[in-house]
Amino acid sequence: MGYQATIKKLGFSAIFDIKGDASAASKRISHLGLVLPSEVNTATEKDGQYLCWVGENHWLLLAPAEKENQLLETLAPHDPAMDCRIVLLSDAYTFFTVTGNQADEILAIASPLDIRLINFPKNAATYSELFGIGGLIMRRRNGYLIAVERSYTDMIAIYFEKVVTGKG
Amino acid sequence: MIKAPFRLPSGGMIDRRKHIEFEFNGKAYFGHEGDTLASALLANGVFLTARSFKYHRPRGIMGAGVEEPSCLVELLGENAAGNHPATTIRLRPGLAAKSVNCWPSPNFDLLSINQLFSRFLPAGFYYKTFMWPNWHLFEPSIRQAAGLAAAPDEQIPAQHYETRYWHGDVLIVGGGPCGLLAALVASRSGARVMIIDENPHPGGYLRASQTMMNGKPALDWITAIRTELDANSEVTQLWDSTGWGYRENNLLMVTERNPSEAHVFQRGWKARARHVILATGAIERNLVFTNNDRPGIMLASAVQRYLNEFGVIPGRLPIIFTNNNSAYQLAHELQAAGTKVTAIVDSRPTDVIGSEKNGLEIPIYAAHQISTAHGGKHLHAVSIHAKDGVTKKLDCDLLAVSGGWNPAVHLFSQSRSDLAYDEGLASFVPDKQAQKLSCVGAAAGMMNMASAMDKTVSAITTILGELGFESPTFTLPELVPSPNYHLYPLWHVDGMKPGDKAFVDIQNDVTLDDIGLAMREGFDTVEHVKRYTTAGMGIDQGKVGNVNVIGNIAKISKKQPGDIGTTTFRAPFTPVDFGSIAGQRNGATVLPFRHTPITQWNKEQGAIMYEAGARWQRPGYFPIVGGSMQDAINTEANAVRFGVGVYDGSPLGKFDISGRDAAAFIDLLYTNDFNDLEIGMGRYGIMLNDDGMILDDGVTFKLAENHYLMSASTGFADLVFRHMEYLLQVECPNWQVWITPVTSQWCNATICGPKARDVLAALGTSVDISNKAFPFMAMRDGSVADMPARICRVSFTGEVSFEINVWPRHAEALWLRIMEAGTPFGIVPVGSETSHVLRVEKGFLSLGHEVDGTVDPFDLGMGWIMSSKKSHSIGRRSVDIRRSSGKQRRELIGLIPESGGELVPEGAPITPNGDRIASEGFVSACVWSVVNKQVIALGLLINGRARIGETVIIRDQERTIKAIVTKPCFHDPMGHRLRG
Amino acid sequence: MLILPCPFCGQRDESEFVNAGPTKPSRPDANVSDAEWVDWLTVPENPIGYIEEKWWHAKGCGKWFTIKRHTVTHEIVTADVMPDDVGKRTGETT
Repeated sequence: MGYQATIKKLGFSAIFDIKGDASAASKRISHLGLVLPSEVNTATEKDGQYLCWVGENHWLLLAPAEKENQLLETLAPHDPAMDCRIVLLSDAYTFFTVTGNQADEILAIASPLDIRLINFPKNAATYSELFGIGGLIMRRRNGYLIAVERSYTDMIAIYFEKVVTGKG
Repeated sequence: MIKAPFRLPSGGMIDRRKHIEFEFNGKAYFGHEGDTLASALLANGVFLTARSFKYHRPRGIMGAGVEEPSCLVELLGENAAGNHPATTIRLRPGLAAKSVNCWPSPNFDLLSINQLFSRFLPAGFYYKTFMWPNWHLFEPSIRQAAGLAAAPDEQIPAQHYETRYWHGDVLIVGGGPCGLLAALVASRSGARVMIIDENPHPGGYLRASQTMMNGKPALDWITAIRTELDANSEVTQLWDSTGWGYRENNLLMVTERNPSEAHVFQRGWKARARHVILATGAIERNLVFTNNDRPGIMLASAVQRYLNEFGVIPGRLPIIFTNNNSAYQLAHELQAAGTKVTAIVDSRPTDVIGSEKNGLEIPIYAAHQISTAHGGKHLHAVSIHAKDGVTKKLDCDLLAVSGGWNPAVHLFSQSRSDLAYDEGLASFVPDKQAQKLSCVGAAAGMMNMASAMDKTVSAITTILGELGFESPTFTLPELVPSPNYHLYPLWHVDGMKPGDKAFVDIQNDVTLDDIGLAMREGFDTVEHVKRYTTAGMGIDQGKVGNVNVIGNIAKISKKQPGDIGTTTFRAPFTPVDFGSIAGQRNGATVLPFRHTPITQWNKEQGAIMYEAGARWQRPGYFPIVGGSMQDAINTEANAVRFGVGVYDGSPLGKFDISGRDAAAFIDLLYTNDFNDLEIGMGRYGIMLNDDGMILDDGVTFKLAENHYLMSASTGFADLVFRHMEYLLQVECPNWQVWITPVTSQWCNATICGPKARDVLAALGTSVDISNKAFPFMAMRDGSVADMPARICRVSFTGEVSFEINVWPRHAEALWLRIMEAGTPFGIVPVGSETSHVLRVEKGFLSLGHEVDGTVDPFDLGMGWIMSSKKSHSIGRRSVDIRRSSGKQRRELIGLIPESGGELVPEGAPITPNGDRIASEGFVSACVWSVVNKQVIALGLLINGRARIGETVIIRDQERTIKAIVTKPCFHDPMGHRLRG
Repeated sequence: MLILPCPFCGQRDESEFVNAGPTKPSRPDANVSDAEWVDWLTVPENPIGYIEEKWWHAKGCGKWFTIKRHTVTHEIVTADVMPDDVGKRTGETT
């Protein structure tokens, strides 16, 4: 019964919201070895850190939790530098992974996003709709990485459970 | 097991080895796998299956598919569902169904007495009867009589619904010969294709008839196509699925009734394609003559389908009545099956009846019509008449009628595309497309299969080219040549007399008389006739009858049907379970909800939780053993006023605002001055819409030069964000301001009350919390209970308050430490009911209560917040214009109601002298005040500030309550306590 | 349910967006008459035909943009586009 898909709620990650001028943003994160993505709604990756281009002057930096302290210092998010602003958002999101043979089916239920490869490539990362609310969707090797605002975590978990198991 | 008397010994596409027991109106029967409920009933000789909607006339099964107007059933038990045509229900083990619209059974229907009173139930009866003031006298009994099926009482656990999206290149609705062909060609090109069909198996007319393709039964051709489509991963085939709604940008709403995944009961698809192909076929029309609704009278196409698909001939003495040559095919097939057809009654003259009659050994009454059908609960004879008036009575127990074919243009019309009247078909056909779609086959009015398939190929080839796909190779199947479709329209038979019960719309019991009556009474356009008579409404939406309605309006008004036009075709095409629309959005997720890290703790304490804006679940109050809700609220309020309380303020909207022009931006948003705000301090502000009405209020702190932390009301945070982003992106694109919503990055526990400082000290903090070092409206970064924290001294309660903001990862730990450290001081958690009491006592605003989109700051006695130095802030101009008119306005006041300790409902109007006339104000909030020990209220009252001390009268439905008008503050008006 | 052309994200489902009604002329100067101000504030266009309107990609990238749409057929004839130097978009569909 149910779909061949596994939903996993992930632990804490470091998240930084970057808004501002592309060149300023590029400079601010250059020491991480990351470059800005060249295509909108895609991500670049370096050492487990992801930089997602999610809006016109808007990027999200995702990194392993243990890097948070170091990033807080090097990115200086409390310093409103003039051409770019970096704000800590580690607590603001909860991550889920959707993996398995039928991960696509789950995404097609959760989101109106057209997830065909031509439209949503291997390095895709975008904000879209998930079970009626906004959320971040990234493609991963065997499925998807989903981030929703933390306050919706319980609701999204119930939705996933319902949809995957077919109960309720 | 009793042999089904009307099942042929062989033939049909049912699995005769598999017997299925089912129940209909409490009696058990057997059918086979592959049957519908309707075919199984007919096979068993169950002909009287329903009672009609209005007159409770006996009715049987007329159709074989979605067109069925007559036999609606309610499914019981695990499959519970209401109002489905019996012809669309797949037989499955344990199926239990009952007729709707009759009580106690169709055979003995107590309400059929309506038939005798039918002259009292003419068109427009409901409009004429249900009129004020006495409609309620009639309503209950009429409702019961006219009731359709009952909805299931509760969710059935086995019924898991789901909705999902599909994106593709070509979407084909209809799996008949042209639809299958289009799918085959499109799939070979590499396009992503979806094909859907109403029936459990594709084939359409190919399954309902004995069509040969390439010299073999057409089923072989279908099987070959299905095999190929099955192997193509880009193709989605949905059978037993209805495309029931055509929306904007080629979005099709589809309900899949029997998904291959066992755990899904039904699935709703939102399928969007670059091109849609409608291959929806055509639906046969009824003919209009007296008693044309008797059980035993069926559409010719339905009889043909029962014969070929189900091996059932639902009668021994069939007669065919037609105005066209398509029904002759049925005569040929019945003859081949060994059933003697008594006669063909053809309204067309002899000279136009062509090759269709070749090989038939059946009497053909050309230029004849049936004037009336005889029999009550079942047909036993018909009277026919010739043009010259000679009549004759013929015995029969099955009458197959064909009034011609209507292209199934429902989805085409829903797409907002235009229809045109086709004289040759005497029906409406697709004309101009409003979206990227094409019609093929009978749906396009092409009634000859060979040429329709040929045209389908050229259409799909063009479409694929436009979509950038190469056209593949394929061969068209060879068909036996068939005569071209020919009909003479016959909107009703000749010689009808007033009072004859000749039904134009079978489902809604609309007779030819009713159409005439409606038009005589002046309801003479098609839309008016529809509403006045209800023709074309209901579950079948006039699939069989609508064009007859239009034809008869045309005939009566001596116009052409094309001039009359059609009514609007509406979704859903066929009945759809609401579950397939709602999908997974049911039960616990029927509404979105949000939690804070403290939600679980609140629940464990037994808090009564409910939504308090922006989907946040918050504790309303914490019940106390043996006490009422009011007792609980009083306990919490007393703690804050005289001891200490704590609440979870996490849902408060928060924005990090920075950039070179951040200060100018804050200045633009708020009506009051922010440019003299010092770093580390906050200020209360009000922002307006352009119309000068209040959008939101809140406190904004200055963290650094051009760096602010703004708070917004929980319920309005999204709106405030939208407002700010609009200004920045649209009106001030050159300003450098960045806004990051940080609502979910910060949680706060707000400790409030005279002992709040003691609790904070007990928790341990790195911040000097003395009033001198840390004054009201200041904020400090530091640590609290060894956690990094930002403390703000704001107050929404009127008492000393410390809003301790921490990252959510620390929120629960902080909360538990506060409860621990606060215990010696008697700390209690405070719910939103108490917050409401505390803010009303202080006269603090609440958006949604006092601020409802129609008030400005002056109305609230807050003229001071409209800085005299600023004319440029958003909304200022509109406020000034409104003020300059000098009109009296509703103003915020306090009220002390003489209600004997009872609360007055919020929203209750204040009227002059308490009369039932236009109100002069209303009660916006009313609570029991723990400091005043009486009921107090806030309200808005015309010219209110000048009326302090007056007594006004509140209306609460039938009673009136006197109230004294006061200033809108009942506690510590100078604000000494919150600054303490 | 429309498909809307977000200048940043490309074609997306309407449910990701918020409609903000017809585009207003730019905010008048402080020296316009009261009547002109009220007119600007309260009289939106409401044609049967093409209308320029504002949308917000609320659940997506947060972009405010303008399209010209036919109020009957929903045909979108013009839409804001991103400047060339902002970035490329991956394959377009529907």
